[in-house]
Amino acid sequence: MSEAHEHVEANEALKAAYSPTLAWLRKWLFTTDHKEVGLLYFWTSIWFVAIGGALAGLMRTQLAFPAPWDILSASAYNQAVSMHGLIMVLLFLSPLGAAFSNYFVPLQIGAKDVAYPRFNAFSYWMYLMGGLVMISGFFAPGGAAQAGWTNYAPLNSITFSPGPGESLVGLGLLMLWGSLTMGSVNLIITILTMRAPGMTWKKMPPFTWMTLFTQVLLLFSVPSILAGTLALVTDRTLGTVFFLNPAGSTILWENMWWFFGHPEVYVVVLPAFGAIAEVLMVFTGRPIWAKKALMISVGVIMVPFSFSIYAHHMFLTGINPLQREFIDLNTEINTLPSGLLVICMILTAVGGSIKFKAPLTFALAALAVFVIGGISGVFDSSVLLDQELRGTYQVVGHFHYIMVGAAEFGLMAAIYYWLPKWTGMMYSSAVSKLHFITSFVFFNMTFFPMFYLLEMPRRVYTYLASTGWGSYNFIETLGAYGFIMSQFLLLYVLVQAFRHKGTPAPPNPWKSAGPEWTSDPKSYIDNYPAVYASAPSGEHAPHVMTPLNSRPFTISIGLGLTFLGLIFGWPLLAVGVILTAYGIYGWAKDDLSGVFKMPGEEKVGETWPFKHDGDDLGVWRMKMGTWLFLASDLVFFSAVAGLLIFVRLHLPDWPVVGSVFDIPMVAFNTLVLVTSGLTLMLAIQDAKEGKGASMTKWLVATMIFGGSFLIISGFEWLDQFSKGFTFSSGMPGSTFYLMTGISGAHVFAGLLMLTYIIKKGISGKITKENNSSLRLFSLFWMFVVAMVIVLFPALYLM
Amino acid sequence: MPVSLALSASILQTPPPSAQLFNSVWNWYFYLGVASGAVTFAVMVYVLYRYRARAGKEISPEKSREDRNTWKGPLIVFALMGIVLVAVGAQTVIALPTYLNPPNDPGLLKVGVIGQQFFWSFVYPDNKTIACPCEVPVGVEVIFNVTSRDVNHQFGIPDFRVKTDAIPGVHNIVWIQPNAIANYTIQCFELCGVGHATMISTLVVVSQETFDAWLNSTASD
Repeated sequence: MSEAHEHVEANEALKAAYSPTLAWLRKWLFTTDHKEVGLLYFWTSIWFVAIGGALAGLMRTQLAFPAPWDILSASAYNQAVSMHGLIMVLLFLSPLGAAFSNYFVPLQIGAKDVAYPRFNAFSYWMYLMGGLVMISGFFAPGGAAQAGWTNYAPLNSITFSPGPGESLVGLGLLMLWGSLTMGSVNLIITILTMRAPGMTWKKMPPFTWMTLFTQVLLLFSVPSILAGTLALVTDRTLGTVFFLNPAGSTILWENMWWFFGHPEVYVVVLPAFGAIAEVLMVFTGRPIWAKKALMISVGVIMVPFSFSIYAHHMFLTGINPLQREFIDLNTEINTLPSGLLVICMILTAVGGSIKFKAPLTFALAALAVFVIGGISGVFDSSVLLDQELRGTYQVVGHFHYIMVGAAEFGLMAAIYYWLPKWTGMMYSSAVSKLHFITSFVFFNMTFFPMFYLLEMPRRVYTYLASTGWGSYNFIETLGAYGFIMSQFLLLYVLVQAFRHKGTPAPPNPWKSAGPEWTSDPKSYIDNYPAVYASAPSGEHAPHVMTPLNSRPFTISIGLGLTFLGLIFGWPLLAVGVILTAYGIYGWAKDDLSGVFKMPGEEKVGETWPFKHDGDDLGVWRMKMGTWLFLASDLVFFSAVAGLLIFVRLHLPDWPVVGSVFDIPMVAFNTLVLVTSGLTLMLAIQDAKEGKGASMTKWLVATMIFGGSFLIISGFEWLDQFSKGFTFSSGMPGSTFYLMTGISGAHVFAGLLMLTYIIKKGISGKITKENNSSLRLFSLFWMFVVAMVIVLFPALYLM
Repeated sequence: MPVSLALSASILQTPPPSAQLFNSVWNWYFYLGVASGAVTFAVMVYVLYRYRARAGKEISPEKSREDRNTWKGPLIVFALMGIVLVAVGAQTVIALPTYLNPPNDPGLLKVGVIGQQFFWSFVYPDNKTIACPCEVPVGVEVIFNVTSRDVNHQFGIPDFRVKTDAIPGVHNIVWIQPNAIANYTIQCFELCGVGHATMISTLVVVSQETFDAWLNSTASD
């Protein structure tokens, strides 16, 4: 039996696995296939944009005429404006980019799936549940969040936003940050280690390049706002005072928010530019002009500089003038790679044969409006001009030209380009042209007048007729209606294609040389059966695996209910906690029984500059992923440490060392945790020597020491409480409980993993040859021990 | 002149010095920005027209995956953009000290500004606090020391092209030099809650005598 034939059989077995009752539902709830997860991302982001778009329509209706025109109340308008921003940036644009990354990156690099398919599904469900938690605020008393999408402190605090809406946004964001972190580790490891033989960096398609940059940005920017959001949520639920106390408050939040928020702009725009580059290559027939220089300038200038310029959002907060000029100039430097991006795309067409099909028209529109959005942004980079432009409609116009114009048009180009690959169907060229023309005209009609409103404040729900802003706003509103209406054309195209109505598309309708078009559209488990079927025999084992797994869905819905329960009452909370625990238990059980096997390649492809160390490929990828996750976690701890440093610099009054805490006790407790690290090392030594029983003993010792650390920490908390030192005991209390809470949560997560490892050890599955799970766990545990060692002097001795 | 300055109510008078300074810097950004955009669009339109698909010209798809490396090209792009950016950036850097740093004139007037949901109050010498309007004498430099009592606000006088954050616990400074007797709008530019849109006050510029009389006759709020 030939190997290709075995693959056909494996495919048939999978299709059979899809066919029991409720197969349709099971497939979409439990899938871990990167293509199906990609489609889930896609349709979910479309639902969210419908909500975000409806909110925009409401806002534009309210702004169409000056006061006393009163469709929305001030509170309703503030909810609309806040949720519109959150939904469009975090729940629509970046997930839409992620939809394409999920679907096409493995196809473009010749991989069978992403590195961790279950985590991929987990990322998706966390995104959906986080999004639902955020918008559930509309159904809560007092309505959704009203503090703007940036949630500036102290307006975001319980004092000034007493309703549950803001808390729900904080909790939803926490889930979203989890989703983004898992997703970025997943995609980065996929690109680093799963490229097919011959898919070198040089040959890698631009969309995959841009995805890589995007995910690197996310990996290192999310931890900052994760720390900020945790502080916000503890403020709102437990009574800490990070954003009420002037020593933290506005400036602290703005730093944490924009350290994430500014790179997020590139997160939104870069996948769109990847798609634009793909489309230009195909519809002009020419290679990207200066691709190497372009990728280097994005990777070396744009990505790192995007972290150094975030404070241009804070020019007016009173930061040091010299720092302001420095950031102004850095921002201008970061104009260079953006400008080069546009020029490279335009010059790509030189010498080509340009076919103005729907994907290309949207790509060109994205470039054109990006020029306007980019140049208008240079105005805002000036510390001086910012003194007037800050907080006005000029800024609103600027970033909508980037977000709606460049990013959304670029992603629409991606939709029209890849839709035939997704659905096997072509779409009506007339409808797509009409969609393009109406979108482009109405987009400019909506947002260009904003450049004239450089005295009108953002986020006001009404204005006086005497300002003369009425006519501009009226035109904008008409444009917004037109823009919203024209999107129904896109919806029509999508629904037709996904329902397989219309003309079937050939396998490669655009005659693209992009590698993703050569994948086998009929294959469920293998994107490229032919490539791997030709691997030398012996290395290639057929694998029948099921891509269905219910755990990511269960855990996510459990967490979602838990968070909703914190606001809406304990029954939800109880169900949520039980579901979460059940999901985590099931995940571990699946691993122990080997039910879920990852579709690992049998031979390693391009991995430069990393070297495959000879471990099983899946294990090697887990190891790489663990390191990457720890890098992100390190940024998270740095953000928390930064928070402490910030507070200490702004608050000269701090309890004298030793006056609050029992330092000998805490030192002893730290030693207990360090000891658990030593026992773990001994366990690893035994595992390497194949002494199973002794290894298990040391693992149990690790558990006892780790558990003791948690128990002693718990008593320390109780002791402090009894002395009246609580969450709300000013900044000393807030920082103490947040930081020990975070390290405690890490230790708790580690103990859960350790339980799994011990179970594995008892059942004899950790052997001399196969002890990778133990070694991976030890990476995490040692990291946690190191963090606690660093925390000790930072919290207690300074 | 900024495109939208024509909308401003103060067009009939000579703009105050801060607005003049703003306008001169704005003009650099505006004209160079429009020129850069126009050049980019011109190149784009030309390329799209010149290389449009024509009968008989087919390019095999594989050609689009070939190398097309150039280092000189991107460097030229960087250089051209660099010239524009240095030109505009220099305007900011040169004008900024005058714009930000208040003069050290002994005759100037210091007014404290307190933002609060949802109104501004103004603290005059001798701690006289007045809710609205904010009166200042013409021709005298006025320094506003801006802070907030609750959440973030942003204190802006659009006609003067000045603005700064009002943050609890932080004192930020802007300064103006009114050069005409007129009324100007003071508005909040940072979302601060349900009353954000209506957090409007008036800057009333009067003669020195009127100002003195007003300050003496007004009781503290």
